[in-house]
Amino acid sequence: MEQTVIDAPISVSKVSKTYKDGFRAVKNVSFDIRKGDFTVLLGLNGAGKTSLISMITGLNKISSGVIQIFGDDITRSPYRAKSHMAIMPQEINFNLFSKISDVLIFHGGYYGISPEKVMQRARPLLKKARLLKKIDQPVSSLSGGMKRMLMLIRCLIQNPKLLILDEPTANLDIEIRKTIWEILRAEHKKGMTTVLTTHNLEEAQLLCTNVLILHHGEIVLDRSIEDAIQSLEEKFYSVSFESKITQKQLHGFSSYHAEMREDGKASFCIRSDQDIGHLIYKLHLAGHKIAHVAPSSHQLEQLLHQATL
Amino acid sequence: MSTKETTTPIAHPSTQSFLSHQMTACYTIAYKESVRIVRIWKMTVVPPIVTVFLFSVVFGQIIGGKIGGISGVSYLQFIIPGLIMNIVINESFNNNASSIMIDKYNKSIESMVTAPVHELTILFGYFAGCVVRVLMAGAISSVLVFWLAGIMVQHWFLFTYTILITCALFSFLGFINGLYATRFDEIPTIPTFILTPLSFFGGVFYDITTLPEPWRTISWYNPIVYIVDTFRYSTIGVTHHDITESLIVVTAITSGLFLLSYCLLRTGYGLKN
Repeated sequence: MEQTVIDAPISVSKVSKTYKDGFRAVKNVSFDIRKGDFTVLLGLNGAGKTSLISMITGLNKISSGVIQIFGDDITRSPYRAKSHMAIMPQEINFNLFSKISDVLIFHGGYYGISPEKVMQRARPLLKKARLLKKIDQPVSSLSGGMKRMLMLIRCLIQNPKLLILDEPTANLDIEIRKTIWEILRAEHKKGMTTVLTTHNLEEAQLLCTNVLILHHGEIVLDRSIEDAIQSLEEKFYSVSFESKITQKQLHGFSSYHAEMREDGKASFCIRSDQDIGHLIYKLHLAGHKIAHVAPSSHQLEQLLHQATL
Repeated sequence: MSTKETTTPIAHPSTQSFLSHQMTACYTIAYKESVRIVRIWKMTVVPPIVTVFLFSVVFGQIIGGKIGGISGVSYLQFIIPGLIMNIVINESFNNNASSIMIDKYNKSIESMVTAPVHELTILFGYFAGCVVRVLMAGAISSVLVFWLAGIMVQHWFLFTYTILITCALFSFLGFINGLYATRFDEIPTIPTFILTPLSFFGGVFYDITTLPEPWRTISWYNPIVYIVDTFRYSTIGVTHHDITESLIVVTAITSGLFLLSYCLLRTGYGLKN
């Protein structure tokens, strides 16, 4: 997208990143992220996602091009641009010997927020994350998942207009993942613009409205997830049944590549010449009572595969 | 948490005045440093006090008793200002160099770099942290050894200014070292190979005017000579050089290092790719 949206949360125009060794990680990339969007940035390892995110957050220098955050140039007006956004990096980035309360107070202080206000804002979030009672303990006493929860809370105490998350739920158990998703959904409903990078496509499909795919440093797809999935030639659906069924019982659905998954749901592939309604009808005729049908996260995987071929 | 839970609105940084925001950020960096210094007080506060006490007893009392007077004062009184300045020099340098390196290592510096914190705020915040460390270690040591040697401060303004400007000079030098270092073993290089020799040849233990040429002239190229000389004048009234000239030299070096630190931060040296 070449045309710049005025005061877009993120406006990237013809941005490139070349490292000292000559490697071009990002090549002349342009896109805009609109207010209230929940965008997932996908790409294979080494696609340039981290380089791009690092330039947006001011952690990497921009080799050429312009990045604006709500209309403020990250290079020319870094203080104003940075004041709009919160960043949750992939790696834990606080002193493990600091107390939980200090981690929040230090971070809030960088954004001009007094310790009292930081704690006022953090208390309900800490309670939700079951961290309130541990507030005077060192960060090193927390589990990996709790540390990541703390990183998210640290972002939210800023009350940011733009939240950038780099693999927020990598290697976390399902309980903490769901808590993080719940918090992110709630913030998105309040109008926060969010950018997420993840390798968890289920997470991306569950949370995000838009998808950006980066491949070899170039944007190869920039559209809404719904539209992108619509354009797929093959779509995967995940079907759960009221009673347990086996792979054998799905024998008559081989034209849909029917497959039972470990989570007890069945996966079906619908080609462009097939119809989901017809599949549901056929399942009904076979006596299988359907509890729920949803697009499978395989669709994003397929989208990523198709875009990066 | 229910999404309906109420929270009091927070002044967003973009709606706050720039100065008020930067003052809060500066205080936060100083507070962060102070928390670290107090948490590891056995490493940051106790060793310099023990060192200066041992130097005073061994060199000042035991060996100094045999040397006799120097420049009209006892040997113990002569070396104490230099020993106190050594604390200021080493603690300021080590505080910033190690703190920046640790913050780089655990990546906590990234949360500062990606926040709307001005480069001057970062510099002054870390400098304030050095002042806290120097005050904690230096004040206790000074009271102890000044009492031991019967020293009364003679020029309070000069005394305070010399401590602060020396603290600033070496905090900026430590800052640059911290930015430059990529490994922990690069941190002790400057203290071991530059600061310690300069301190030992900086007139802490002897009167440099008694040195033969060319060593006497060479000594005047050592900035620590000016620092020790000025501080000695402020405490015991003994000097071997023009105080105004010494102050100009020390202030000029500090300003140069301040500018260099600022430029390195602006360009993201050691912090940004």
